[in-house]
Amino acid sequence: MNILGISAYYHDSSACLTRDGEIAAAAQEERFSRRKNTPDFPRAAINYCLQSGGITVSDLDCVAFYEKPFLKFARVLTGHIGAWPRSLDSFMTAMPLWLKDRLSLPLTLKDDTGYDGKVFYIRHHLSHAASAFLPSPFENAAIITADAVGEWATTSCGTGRGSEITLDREIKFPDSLGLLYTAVTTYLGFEAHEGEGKVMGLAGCGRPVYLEKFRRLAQVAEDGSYRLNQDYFSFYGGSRMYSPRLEELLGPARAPEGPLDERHADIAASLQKFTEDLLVRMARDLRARTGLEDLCLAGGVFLNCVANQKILENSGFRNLFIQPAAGDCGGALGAALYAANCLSNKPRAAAMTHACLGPEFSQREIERALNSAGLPAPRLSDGELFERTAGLLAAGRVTGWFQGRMEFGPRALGNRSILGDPRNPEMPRLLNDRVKHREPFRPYAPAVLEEKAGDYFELRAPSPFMLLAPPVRKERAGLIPAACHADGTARVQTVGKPVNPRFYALIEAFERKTGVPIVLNTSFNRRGEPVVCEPAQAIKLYLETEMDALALGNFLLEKKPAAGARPQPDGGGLNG
Amino acid sequence: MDKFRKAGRALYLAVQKTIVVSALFFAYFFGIGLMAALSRVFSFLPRQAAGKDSFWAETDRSNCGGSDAAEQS
Repeated sequence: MNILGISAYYHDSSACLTRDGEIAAAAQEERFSRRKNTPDFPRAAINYCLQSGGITVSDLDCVAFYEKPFLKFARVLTGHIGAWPRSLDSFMTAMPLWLKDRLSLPLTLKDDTGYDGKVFYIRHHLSHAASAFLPSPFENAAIITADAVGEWATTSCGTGRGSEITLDREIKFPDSLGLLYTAVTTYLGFEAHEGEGKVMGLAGCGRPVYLEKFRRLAQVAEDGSYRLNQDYFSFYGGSRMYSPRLEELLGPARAPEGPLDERHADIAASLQKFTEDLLVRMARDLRARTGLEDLCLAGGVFLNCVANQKILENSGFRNLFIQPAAGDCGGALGAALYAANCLSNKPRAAAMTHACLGPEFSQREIERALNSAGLPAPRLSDGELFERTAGLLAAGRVTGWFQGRMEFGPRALGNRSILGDPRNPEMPRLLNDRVKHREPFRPYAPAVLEEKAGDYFELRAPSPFMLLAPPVRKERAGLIPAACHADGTARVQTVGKPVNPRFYALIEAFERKTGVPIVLNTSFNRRGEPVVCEPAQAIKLYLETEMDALALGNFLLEKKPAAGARPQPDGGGLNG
Repeated sequence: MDKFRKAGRALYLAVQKTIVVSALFFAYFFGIGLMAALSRVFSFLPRQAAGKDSFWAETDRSNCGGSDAAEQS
């Protein structure tokens, strides 16, 4: 049974193919269109999924869309009513899009792909819940989903048992933890749907001294449910997501790209603490209510690895499963799995252990791309590749690592990665100056051999998708200064040998040279760009930046180190 | 002849766009506006009583069946 899942038209469009309940392929449209977080109909991602499965649209049994467009349209209209007449601009922009594409998915599907069969529409939060529970290793589990907004629901909770999911409680728009986080993100001068991770990073540099003020933004009940004080927000149209009262409460908003100071870090820390406390309370209540020991989380809010860690530590649940594409792109996966398991009443397939569901390229295709770029390189054996790349990393060189299938979801997990040496305290700044150009307060994540993770991090469970942020063990923090955030935590990725043998072998080789079973791992892109998908894109980035080396399949490119090119340390701080 | 066809096409598109924009303006000011007026008239009704023990709403659980998923197909 072939089922195509689609998420589109809000942000981070994607497609996913399941075959007999197994996830066969999944990818975000941005990787093909090169427009970060694109909301466009995922034509290229659909084509990739069909090609990867070796099928055409005529082989599809059904298409599952990740939300119900008419319900969502009703909510959008309600928003325009609430903000009338300020919502005129937004109405004139949005309505043609809704009327042309968003309410006519079957027509778009037919025009773009030729598919003319059955289309199922799964509620947004049910798609999220399915994306978390159905690929989890748990037979029964509690489920929480939280994001900005779906049709009406913004937060929901329930249980999954076998192939059944029941969401029995929800909080509806305009009460939304995701929108609260995004509103404060924009108040802090970062972009909505892009800057939330930056605020989480900034939070580690501040103290939650504004927590009492944040408590005025929402009423939180003992069971973790909440209601936002709408006096502080402006979710119904308008150019900003917050009202002037938020500025009266917290002080003037920061301009985009403006200087960052301690106050901004403290506001971020207070927002983060408020979010963590609320989610822990919600999870605790669910634990008590269901008596279940395992918890599945999905929705953009749970890309917040610091909050996830607090839930794991303080909620009473024994195990967590957070699907790697926890945001809206994972909705495609959830919708497809829901159709494959719940609607078809079929048992679930094996648990999802990796996120490598995107395109891959043969050694011959890589060689062709290298030759087209005028960069012929010798093909190394696996052993040589791991040893030489590990040697480069140990020598402090910033190295691109492009292997196998591209990851699904926002994190690069060792197939489209840029790597560095975690022992070098200057490495975050080198990565920033030479390639990434990110804000200096944002930490870089360590990828650690799974069985050695406990030696370096206070980690209760594996973190294969980089969605937990445990404290770094104090006695080991000095060994990996580049991996430790200002608050003493690290966004860890545990690498298991069966899951990603090549990445595992590289880290093992690095350990043989240095004694440290960890490399720094960041996504293979520049700030504001999507992660690379194809070899040619990786080569282009390698040539356009000061990346020192690039391992593309079994080919290794190296630049000669320029004399005196190593930048000198400077003052650091929030602004670099 | 080609010039006439091009001019005719441009005129057609301009008229079409004008009609669409006018229709949207009309819908916004009379349809959405009327709804907005009504919602403001009734806005004195409180959303929910303050001091509630919980802000969860029960779902209707209809989202768990195939009939609901297929309603728009």
